[in-house]
Amino acid sequence: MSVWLLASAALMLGILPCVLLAARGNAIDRLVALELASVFTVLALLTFEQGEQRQSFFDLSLALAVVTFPSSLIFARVFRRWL
Amino acid sequence: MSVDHAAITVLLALAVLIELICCAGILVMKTPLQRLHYVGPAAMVCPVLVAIAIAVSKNPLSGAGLKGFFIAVVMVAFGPVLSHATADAAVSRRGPAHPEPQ
Repeated sequence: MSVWLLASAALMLGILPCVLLAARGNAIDRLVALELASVFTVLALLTFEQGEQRQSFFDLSLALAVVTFPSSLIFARVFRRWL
Repeated sequence: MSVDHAAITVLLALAVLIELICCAGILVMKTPLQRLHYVGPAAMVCPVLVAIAIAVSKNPLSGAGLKGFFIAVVMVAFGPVLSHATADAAVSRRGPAHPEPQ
């Protein structure tokens, strides 16, 4: 197993504390957990693609990195105004 | 082990170490604002480390190198905005931390 795949596995494990926080915390805690889990997911995909040497997967992490920002921002705005 | 491989290993190990610290931080801290302090390093430093590792492993001007660099730029640029919006939502929900005197 290459160092890229090991890093990818470690980054995926980092999602577990975020799930724990989202399960236990209030709504803002869930938003924080979502942001951190999004970062870990993008980085885990990026390192996984590098370990597998599949260029097509790069677009997946790129799209996720770009889409994560407006989705979390809208979530925060909705939370601030209506929740 | 070549120098490039050692550099990649060190960079990825640093990224994972920062990730572990941030995971511990969000579980240990009590309030959302305290937890937000641990989202910043994961969103700002880890992508840069991974992008540098990709640039070391491949040509920085290759497709993978440029995409890794672009992902790091996107996350570094948008991370503080997201943290600010989240902190704004948290403060508006519980009231200002230091209200102005009447």
